Amino acid sequence: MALACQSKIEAGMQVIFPQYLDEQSSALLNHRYQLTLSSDHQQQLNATFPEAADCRHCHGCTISCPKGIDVEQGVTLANEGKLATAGDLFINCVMCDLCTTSCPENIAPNYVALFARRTTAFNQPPAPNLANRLQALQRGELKIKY
Amino acid sequence: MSNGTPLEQAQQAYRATLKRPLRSFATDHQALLQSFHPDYAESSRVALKVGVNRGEPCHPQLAALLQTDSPSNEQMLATANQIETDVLVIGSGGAGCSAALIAADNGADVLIATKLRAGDSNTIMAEGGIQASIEANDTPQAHFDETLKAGHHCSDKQLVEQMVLDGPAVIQWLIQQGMQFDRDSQGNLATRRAGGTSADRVLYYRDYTGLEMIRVLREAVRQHNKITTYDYSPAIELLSNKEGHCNGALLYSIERQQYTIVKANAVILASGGLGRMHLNGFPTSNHVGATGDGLVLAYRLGAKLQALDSFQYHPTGLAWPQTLAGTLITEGIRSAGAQLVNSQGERFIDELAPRDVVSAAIMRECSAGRGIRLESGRQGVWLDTPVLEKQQPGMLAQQFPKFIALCNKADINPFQSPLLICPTLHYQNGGVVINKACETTVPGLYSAGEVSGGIHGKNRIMGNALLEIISFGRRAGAAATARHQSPDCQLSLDHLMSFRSELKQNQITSDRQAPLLFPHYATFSRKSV
Repeated sequence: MALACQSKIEAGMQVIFPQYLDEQSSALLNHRYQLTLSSDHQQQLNATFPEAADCRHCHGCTISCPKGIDVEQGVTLANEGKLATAGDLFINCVMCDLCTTSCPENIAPNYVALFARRTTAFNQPPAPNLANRLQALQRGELKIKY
Repeated sequence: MSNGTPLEQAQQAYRATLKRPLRSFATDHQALLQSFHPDYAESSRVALKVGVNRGEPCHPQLAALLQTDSPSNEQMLATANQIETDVLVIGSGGAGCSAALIAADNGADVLIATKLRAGDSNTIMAEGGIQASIEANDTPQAHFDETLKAGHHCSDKQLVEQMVLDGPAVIQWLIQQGMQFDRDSQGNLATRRAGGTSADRVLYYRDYTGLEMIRVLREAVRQHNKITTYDYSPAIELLSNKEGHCNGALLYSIERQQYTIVKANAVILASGGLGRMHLNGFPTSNHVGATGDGLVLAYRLGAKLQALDSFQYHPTGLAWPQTLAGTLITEGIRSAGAQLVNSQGERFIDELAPRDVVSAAIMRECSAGRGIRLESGRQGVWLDTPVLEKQQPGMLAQQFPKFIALCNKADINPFQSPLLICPTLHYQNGGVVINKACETTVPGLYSAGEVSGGIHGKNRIMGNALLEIISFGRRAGAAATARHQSPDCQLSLDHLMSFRSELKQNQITSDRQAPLLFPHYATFSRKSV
């Protein structure tokens, strides 16, 4: 099975519409969180995605991934608090939701990974070149002349 | 005129070498554009006969679309169900998402109506990166000057000034939403150079900058309790009150085949561009929904448009295999050092000249018989990636995963074989006239992103599109929320009366419908009432 948008059309192919996350199954996606600097991120992960701890390592998510991501390993790493490493596995993720629809424990692995990625970005130390420029702009040093 | 070298012959003749003869090329960019850029051909413009831009030049295919009657009628309004919101955002790419987030943060109830699924857009495909002047040896002034120069000094200077000064704050905001950027060993945000510029000013996340941006913004939108998103629900008409102010839109649900009226205090158009109109028969890098819908809606309501005869043909669209023709190969790869090479093994242009100039140079090579010919008759030139791999082993795989995925899909080994490329229709340079607060000439209607005009003049530089959508998207969200409630809440199609009478006066008839919503090969048809 492959994503239609990633595949050349050939005779004999069958098209299956993935089970869209409609109102019923969107209960899977009711998680809400604020990105934070100081709190315990693993605790936040556990509170936001309590199902993530229920992973039974069936590999369904990894098998379903059309981008070849080791999805299950990502969930495992996130559960261990290794958010940056977990998130890095999902660089190629296009959020097709196939892993989420394939999980028997109702984990939403690609959203767990996105939480990990966003939290990592939010918690990186300020970039010196960006911080310097923001300060210079704030001081009004950089005006535009026509 | 020669037909160029057949593909197989050119593949055999290709040698990966660091020493390329540089064919002497015209340094007169203007002459090159005049002779070879599609925008400069006489056949690429007609005068509009109808609407507020009457008499002004417009691409003939776009003119036909803008001068097509609306299929909307009072009966649709009468039978549609009606909902209400503070701010209606049309489109869910980078501009639509950022507008919605700011409006919602400012307390507005926001409805996003999008034609496909949330985030399906050109933004998600953006590869090169986002411009922001943050390096010590760079200034916002240089960013301003080079944006104007690449655009042939046709931009609205006030808009460009605001955008370049917004740049660093835009990046900061994106990081706060959880977007990752590549960094160097000191923790600085990494930068690369765009064609037509003098400083490293493009920030990026691999060659997935747009994907990373949409993943993050879409998730922020999804979680916001003040934002509702309607998928598969294109706007097919804007609505107006007695004074002609915009106060809502008519949506069509593709899934349910139903019409919905949305009454809104402000409407933000963030519907993107029109690559899927395949102007001049070109392939396109754009997503399937880029059919110029926003221009049609705005124009029928009486909003002024500009530069409707100016489009960007990106130099490096994949030319072969045919099934992927038009797919973008990021300018980042030329920025990293990849060369353009003709069938004679020669370089023929500064690869980091402005995009319009590089595209014109490619078309010159093809028309002079130095291109590489496909069986279809189409021609291209080589993008020499094997040499790049020789110079910087491992860099392509590390920095350009999206490019490598494309090569896998195309069954090309970019470390051994060059890629055949030719210009691809990429971007609409003009669009809806806006001011610094994203107000159009119609009160109540705001516009942000590619559908708007005035920022890029007649040619855009890499990374300014992603900057524009967030800079102006955020401003549109703030301005739309601050708009005072209009006392007149009648929702009507009255603005269509004058438009239709103008069509009649000019004896313009058409059996098509506008907005297009989908390209013709999608064979989509809407249920009529």
